Amino acid sequence: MSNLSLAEVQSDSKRYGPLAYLGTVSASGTPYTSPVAVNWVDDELVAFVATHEAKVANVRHNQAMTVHFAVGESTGWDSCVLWGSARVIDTVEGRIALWDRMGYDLGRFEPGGPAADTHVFLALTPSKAVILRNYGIGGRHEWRAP
Amino acid sequence: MDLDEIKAKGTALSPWAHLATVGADGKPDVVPVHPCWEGDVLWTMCGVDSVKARNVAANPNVALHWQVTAQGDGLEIWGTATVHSDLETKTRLWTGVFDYDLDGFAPEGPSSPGTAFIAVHPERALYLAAYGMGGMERWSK
Repeated sequence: MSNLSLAEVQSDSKRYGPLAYLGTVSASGTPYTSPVAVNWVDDELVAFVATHEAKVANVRHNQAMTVHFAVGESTGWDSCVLWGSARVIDTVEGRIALWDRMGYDLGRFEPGGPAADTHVFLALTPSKAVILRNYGIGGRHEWRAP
Repeated sequence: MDLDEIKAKGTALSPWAHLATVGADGKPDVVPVHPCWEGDVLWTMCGVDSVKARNVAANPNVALHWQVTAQGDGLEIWGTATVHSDLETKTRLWTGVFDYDLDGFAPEGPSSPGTAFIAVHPERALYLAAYGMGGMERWSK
């Protein structure tokens, strides 16, 4: 049962900084996890990644994705975890729409700008989120999509 | 790189890694863990009924990504995993393998019924300097 709103999850997620560990699954059933910079764009959590990365191929095959925001002492070993379905945004129009919404200069990583096919966006629509205080010892809060 | 160099890279990066597993439904899960090496096996303490233990029982494929540094240096290891909840294994691992006190998480010691360990047998690894912009090194079994 939900005891949080998505807005509360979004607000909490910003405590951990922009870096999160994104989890995907390959066609062979192998998991992958890697640190990515993420940002909320409306109700989707978005990452800007290189087109050739395994996580992009994984999402094209299996849309299930999870994101675990970076855990650390500065945030009391709290966790904010999302699960949901992701999509690959690989059109020029899609990249233009997101280019200035990530909170950092994407041109540092893609000099070709939004027209370049060498980068795409991954956008997660969350269906569930859990916030754990101090590894859950201090409490557990949950949100589920209606 | 050889596996000993992989171990050294991980140790230098952080005591923390993010363990990725896959559920029976094909959905990924990622959790922070504090793994430690015993020879060429990477061990993580877990709950018998934890999501990661259930996932490994359904799909032995796992990945671990060490916490990246401020410079973006990181290490990912892929392998297969098994869950061990037998007293003999738990007693062996309880002292001398982990660099923290397991009693802090399971005061009943190795006989604690809710406690188990995940063994990861590495098969390949990728070390990225500065998110790959500073180069990458690979290892495979």
